[in-house]
Amino acid sequence: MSNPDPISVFRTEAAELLEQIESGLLDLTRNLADRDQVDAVFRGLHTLKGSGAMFGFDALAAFTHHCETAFDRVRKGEVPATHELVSAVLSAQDHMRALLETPNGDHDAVSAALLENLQRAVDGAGASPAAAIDATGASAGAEGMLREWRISFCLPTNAMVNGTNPLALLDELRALGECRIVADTSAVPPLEALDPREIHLAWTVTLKTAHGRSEIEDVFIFVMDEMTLEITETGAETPRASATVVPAAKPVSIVPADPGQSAGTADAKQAKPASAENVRVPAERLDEMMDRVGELVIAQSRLTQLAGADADLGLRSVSEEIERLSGELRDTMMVLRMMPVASLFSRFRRLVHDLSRETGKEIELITEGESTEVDKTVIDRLADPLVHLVRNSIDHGLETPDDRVAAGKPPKGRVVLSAHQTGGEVIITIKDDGRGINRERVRAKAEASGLVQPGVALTDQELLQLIFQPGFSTAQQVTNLSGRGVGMDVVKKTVEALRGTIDITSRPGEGSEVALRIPLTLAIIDGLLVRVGRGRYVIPLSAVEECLELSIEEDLRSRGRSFISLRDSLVPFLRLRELFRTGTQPDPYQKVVVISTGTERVGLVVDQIIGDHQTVIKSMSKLHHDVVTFSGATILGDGSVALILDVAHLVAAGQQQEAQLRAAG
Amino acid sequence: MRETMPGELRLSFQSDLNIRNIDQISKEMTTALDASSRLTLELKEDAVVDLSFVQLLIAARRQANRAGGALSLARPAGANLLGVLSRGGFLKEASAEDLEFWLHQENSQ
Repeated sequence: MSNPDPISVFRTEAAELLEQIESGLLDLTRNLADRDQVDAVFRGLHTLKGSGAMFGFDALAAFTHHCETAFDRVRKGEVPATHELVSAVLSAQDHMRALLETPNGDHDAVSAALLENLQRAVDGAGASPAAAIDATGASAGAEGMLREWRISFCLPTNAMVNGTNPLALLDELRALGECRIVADTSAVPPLEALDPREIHLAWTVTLKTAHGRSEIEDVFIFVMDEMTLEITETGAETPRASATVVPAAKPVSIVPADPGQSAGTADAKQAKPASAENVRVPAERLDEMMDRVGELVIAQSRLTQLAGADADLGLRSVSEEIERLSGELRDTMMVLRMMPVASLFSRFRRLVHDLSRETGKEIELITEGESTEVDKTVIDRLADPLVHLVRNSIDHGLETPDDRVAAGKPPKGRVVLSAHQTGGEVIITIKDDGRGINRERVRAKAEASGLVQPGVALTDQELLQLIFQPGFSTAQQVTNLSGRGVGMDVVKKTVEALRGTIDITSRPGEGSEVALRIPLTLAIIDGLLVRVGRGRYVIPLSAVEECLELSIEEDLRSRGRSFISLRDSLVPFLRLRELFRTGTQPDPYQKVVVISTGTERVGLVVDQIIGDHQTVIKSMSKLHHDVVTFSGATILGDGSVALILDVAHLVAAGQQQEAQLRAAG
Repeated sequence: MRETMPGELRLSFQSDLNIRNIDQISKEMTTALDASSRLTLELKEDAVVDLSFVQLLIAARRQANRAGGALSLARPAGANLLGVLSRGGFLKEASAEDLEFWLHQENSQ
């Protein structure tokens, strides 16, 4: 297997660094005096600059250098951290992404403007007297006192790829005083076992210096989290008087991995860096593996079918064993694709920060259930819809501080993003404590745009769901996201494409809540296999409410109306035989499968219910992208293909049919 | 890559010798060592050198020695390589073999 392209590895890692920098900056906005965050942001900027230069992203390195310099001044106490400065670096950080994505683009004008903005923020912050803060309290000690230190260190194996130059670290140690540097090459493997981009060297440095421990530690500030470092004071002397030997101090070890691990040099050398605990795997490899598992499940299904028809007990036993193993493999594979929603939620801190500044509204963002895990595809696809929902909450839901106070609320509005798992689905909720949805206005807009006929009675849920209808959005609702073509109807379509549903509730003056219910996994579903005519189809089991028998009499009675009475409520139904134009006669005892999305229900008339089926979803080809009735296909145990019904589309079709019949009287 | 004496190869690098192209250098060196465990390297005098190359030479030496051969430099380390060796502390407690390899000198400093 070939090594991944170093440039693409750098891009991935730089994107993660930028996320960390952004997170640090946002934390700083809550506590500008947080020295740890200042250091973290500084380290991130420094690493980005170094690795950017190493991989030829010169514009990114040069631009980042200015931000790093500004934060270095903050770190040294020369400039205080201010909201303006943090905002300027946040804006600059966005530009760094652009420099990363299109390094050869024309960025000069934007770069210059942002740097000017940064300079203004630094100037505006005003220089304060330089006050080098020694967090450890270990200063250089008595002036002129030379101490001797023994410094042993080895860097994480990916240090050089990440832009750390060990020689520069050694030069920095030299700058502190008289140095004796000895390289330890014992851990370098023979060439055949060496990844040449990894570093396996270690060093022992004997340093005589008037500087303290913290200055020595500062040399390693950018790599300290992942390296093995041991600093031991071995003696002290005054240059003029005769040497006064101070007893050796206890070694200070910074070993990241196991807190219970010995800090001794030999052990430290053998200690695996923390990064060795995780393996970075490209998403497409996971997708490939998922495809293979899907094929295996299909083959296993075929084997089960063949074994069931065979009297050979040995074959049946093996078949059952393979069924168990493939089930376990499938479950393991599902877990591999799961990611915590924290990676999705983290980006909203920045959005809320920016919107707060834009709108002048005070906003508190609360996130809950960030460890809830969902399929990676869900994370990727939900990002934009969630941004739109959060923006909507802030733009249209939350009031200005004055309005809130006048309404007897605290001036700071609250947006809660939460996630939790129930059964086979995850529910992501966006809740605000704003003014709530104005139902009169929604109705008026819906009537004006022809979505609802004047005077037609709607339930509260039906009324609220109107905001997800195409064409409902008005100019008043256009935000800067709308330019990307994401409206509330697109939010709904995206959620439905994930086989999810949207529930919405709202109380006047108290706020609104939008809940997205998404299946935990997208690749394999539990399905209900049915027959319509001579074809077999799969209905996602999560959407099935119940199954009923449709006798010939009822069928005849309902012709022209297509409604069934279900516990005192009328449910529209669709005859799939007619919809699919099978050209076959109906079975004498047809079945109605009642499916729902949220509060809307529809019955599907099928000829036969075959049973449940583990359905490996295969995408439809591009030729079929405009076929809306089916969301995919699957291969059955006998090798034939069954189409998977698109529940959302069928429910909408059923509701539309009902509306037409009602309108016709 | 060219053969000089029976069983001995010379491999010449005319590029920079740093992390940017270390993968390629490693591949060429591996191929050469697979062909012969007696390998002599010719390095471009003004090539940019970093620690990844020094480490690669150490690894290649180990492999050649293990195979009963030897890796050597056609010329003593030039200014850039010498600078890296010195800054990196590779010469301070170097063995006679190491000094012979890097500097073509037998006495320790």
